[in-house]
Parts: sequence; C-alpha cells; structure tokens
Amino acid sequence: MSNIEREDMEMLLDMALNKAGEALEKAEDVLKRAGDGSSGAGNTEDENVRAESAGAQGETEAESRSTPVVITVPKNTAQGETEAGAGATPVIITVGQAADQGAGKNEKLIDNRTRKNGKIEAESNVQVTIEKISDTTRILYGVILVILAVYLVLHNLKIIPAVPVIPAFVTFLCLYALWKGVKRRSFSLTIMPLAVIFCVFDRQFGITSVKPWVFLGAAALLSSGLSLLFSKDKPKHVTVELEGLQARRPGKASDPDDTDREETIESDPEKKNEILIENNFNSVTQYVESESFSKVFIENNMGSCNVYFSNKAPAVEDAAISVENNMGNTRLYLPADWHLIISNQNAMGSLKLHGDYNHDEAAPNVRLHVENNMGRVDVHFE
Amino acid sequence: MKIRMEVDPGIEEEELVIRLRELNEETANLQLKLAEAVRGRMQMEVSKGETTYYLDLPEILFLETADNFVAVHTKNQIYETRQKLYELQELLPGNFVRVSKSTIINVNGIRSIKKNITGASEVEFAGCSKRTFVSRNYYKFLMSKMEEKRLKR
Repeated sequence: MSNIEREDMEMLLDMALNKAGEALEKAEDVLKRAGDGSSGAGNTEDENVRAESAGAQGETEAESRSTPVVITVPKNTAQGETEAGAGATPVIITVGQAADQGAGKNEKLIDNRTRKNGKIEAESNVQVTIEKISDTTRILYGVILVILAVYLVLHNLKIIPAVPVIPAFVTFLCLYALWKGVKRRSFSLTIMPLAVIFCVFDRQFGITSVKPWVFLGAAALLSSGLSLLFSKDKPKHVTVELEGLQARRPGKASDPDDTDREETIESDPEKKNEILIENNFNSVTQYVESESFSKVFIENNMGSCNVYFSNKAPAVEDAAISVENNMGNTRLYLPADWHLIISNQNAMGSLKLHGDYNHDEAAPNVRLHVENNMGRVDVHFE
Repeated sequence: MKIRMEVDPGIEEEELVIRLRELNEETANLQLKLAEAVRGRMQMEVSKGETTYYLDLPEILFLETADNFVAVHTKNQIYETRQKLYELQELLPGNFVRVSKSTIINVNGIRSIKKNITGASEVEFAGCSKRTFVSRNYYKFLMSKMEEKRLKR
C-alpha cells in the first residue's frame, strides 16, 4: 500500500470513528430516553414501532438489518427524492443489553425537525431501531463467523484444502432448510434440500448417472405425495397475530419455536373486514377500499404486486397493513394523509418510502409492518 | 392536398369531410390521426365516491378492472367507472391499447416498458409512480403501437 493510499485510509478511518462517536453519544441519549419511556409501562403502547422518512418529500431506504441497534443519521435533506443509502451516513452499533429491553422488536425515533409554513424542514433526524434478535439467529450467525475465521486461518496455514465456495454455500442453505423442515415437520422442506444436496454432490455419492432434474422432479413428486397422504386438516382461515397485527392467512401454521416472529394463531373465519392478498410468481394489482378494512395481509412470493388503497380514512382506529414480501416486488400506494407507524424486518431486501406521509398524530393511524426477504417493497404516498 | 374550411353558423353538428380521389396508406393514416385528435378532446365520465368527474382522455394513464368496477388511473387519482372494459376498448381512441385481460393503457403516457421474458412486462408512466403490467400475449401488439409513434427518417 502506498503512502497516499495509507493516508487516505487513515483519513477515512478517522472520519468513520468520528461519525461512530457522534452516533454513540446520540445512541446513549436515545437509549436513556427509551429506557425512561418503557420502564414505566412496559405495555405495547410504549413499544410502538415507529419510523419516519428522512425529508419532506424524501425517500428513505431501510437497509437490511441484522444487528440489534441501527442508528441512521441522514444529512439535511431538501425537498426532492433522496435515498438514505446515498445521502445519509449509516452507522451501525451493537448494544446487546439495550436490545433486550422490551419484548421482541422495539424502535424509537427522535425527530427534531421543525415545521414552518406547513412544510417540514429537516434539521437533523436521528432514527434509532432497537431489534431483539433471537437466540437461534444469534447462535447461527456466531457459529458461521467462527467457522469462517477458523477456515481462513487453517487454509492459510495449508492445513486444510480450499473449499469450493458455491457448493459449500448451497449445502449450508440446504442444511438450514432441512433443519427448519424437520422442525416444522414439513415434507417438502425436508425432501427438497436433500435432493439439492444429492445434485450438488452426485460425484461423491456415485450417482452421476442420474440427472439433476430427475432428483428434483422425484423430490417434488415425493413431497407432494407424502403431503397429500399425511396432511392434517387445516383450518380454512387462520388468524395470525404478527407483532400485534392480525391478518387472515389460509392454512398457514406458525412455528412455535420460531422466536423471530411472535405469532399466535387462532381460527376466526367470521372476521369479514380482514383482507388477504396473496400472490405467487404472478403480476397482480389489487384495490382496497380503505374505509372497509381493519387489517390487510399482503403476501407476495416471487411476483410483482401493486396494491392501491383508496383515499379515505379507515373505519377502525387500529387499522393495520402487514406485508410479507419474499423475493418479489411489492408496491403500496397509500393516501398521504394517513399517519403511519412503520415497522420492518428486512433480510437482504430494500424498503423505500416515496414521498411523505402525514406526521400529525391526529390523522388516521395505520400500522404498517413489512417483512421483506430478499425483495423490494416500495411505499408511495399519494 | 388543399385544406379548406367553411364557416356556417347554421349547421347543427360540426362535420369534417375529406374528399379523396382514392384511399391510400397516407390518407388512411390521416383519417386515423384526425379521429384520434377529435376523440382526444372528448371526455369520460367517471366517479369517485358520490362525485362524478369528467376527465379529458389524455389525462387517463390506464384503466384496470378491479372487483366490480373499472379503475381509471390518472397521475394522482383513481376514479371508477361502471362500464365494462370491452365496451371502453371500443369507445376509446386508438392510443388506448389493451395490454392484458384486465388493462387498457394510454400509449401516449408511457415512459418505459420493462421487458420480462418469463412473466408480465412492466410499464412505467411519465411523471408518475404508478405501474401496470403487460401480459405476454399483448406485448407484441403494444410494441407495434409504440413503433408507430417512434421518430423515423
């Protein structure tokens, strides 16, 4: 490394450390306030999950988060679209004990923007997200990192040979899916990963004469057949409690051991004002009459889904929208005069807010929960 | 070709007559353009709640079938009409093109078309965040319509 490069690196490091220091001070302040807020009640009202977009007409991107505390300090934004990823300085800090405060996920926001002549002037905006990650996930990530560290050292010492990265990654994913499948007693989630492992390691298993598609086809047929033979009677409509949001999802059971999502299921087919929009691999547009829903559940799996909400206030006070987007594109068009309380669980995906919503708490309150897995969710305020 | 306009305050309805020696491609095109221009000035009756609105056709980006109505999208609003999509397709001028079983779009409003080989292509409109989908069966026809609009030497 040349001297110039080293100086540049040192300068960048200094800048990053300064930013981290500033953010830490702010985080301490926020955590103190969060502690004050939650210590009194400890009820769900105090654990409201909130997020706000960075500017008046701003556009905010919630980057995928796996650390317990995420602090984003956006720069001052004028009117116009700004992506937080470009304009903001994200600083990620892990605070283990603070993350344990409250149950599940807990986000707080300090918003010291001022409103002048009806416009929001962004002076500084500190968004703090406190997420509790489950023990399972924590252990999993920890084990992966430790294995990687050990591998790096041993490989450099030439004690172990180089490992092909892609087959190793696929194997890891398959083993993880297999473990989940066994836990959930799911035939498809157990058999398909095994088929993929056989495909990847056909030479080692001595089964090169069988083509990969035969394995996968046979596995699909086998899992379908076994599922039909040993299927249990599932309720037609299941109500899912998803971190306070309820929505109807047909025949979808929760995993009681999965602590990432706190779900309780109870069958309630009588509820008429709960709407389910489900899209698999397709491109669909749906319209929701805003005055006639209490909960909307949108599940988009590897497809494109546009959902328009009519420009009216919801009929109920605790209206909620829950979006589960798995490797797809979901666009929500929401009235700009709603006051939104947004929470998100983002895994290698992006959530973007286009435009700005009403920050007046007297406006109709709607809770929006987005669970985004390797997909893209855009929320447009119109 | 001469262009002659006669002003007669006594006539009941304005009429445009083109006298031709023969009908060729150029004159057929001219007829199409005139028809579009005349219809383009027409309005469409739509509703939103209890209010009835009259939209100029160029304002409309696309029309899409919802549950029991047809949603009429402009840049910022969604209106409703109770007319059926196939009826609208017959009524609307040539720049409104069917792009799927449930959608008619105004090709003049298109900003981009994102092609998708496996599924529906996605259409983006100018100055607006709305998107709609073009099914594979209608994609070629839409592209031929877009080709007509392109600048040519």
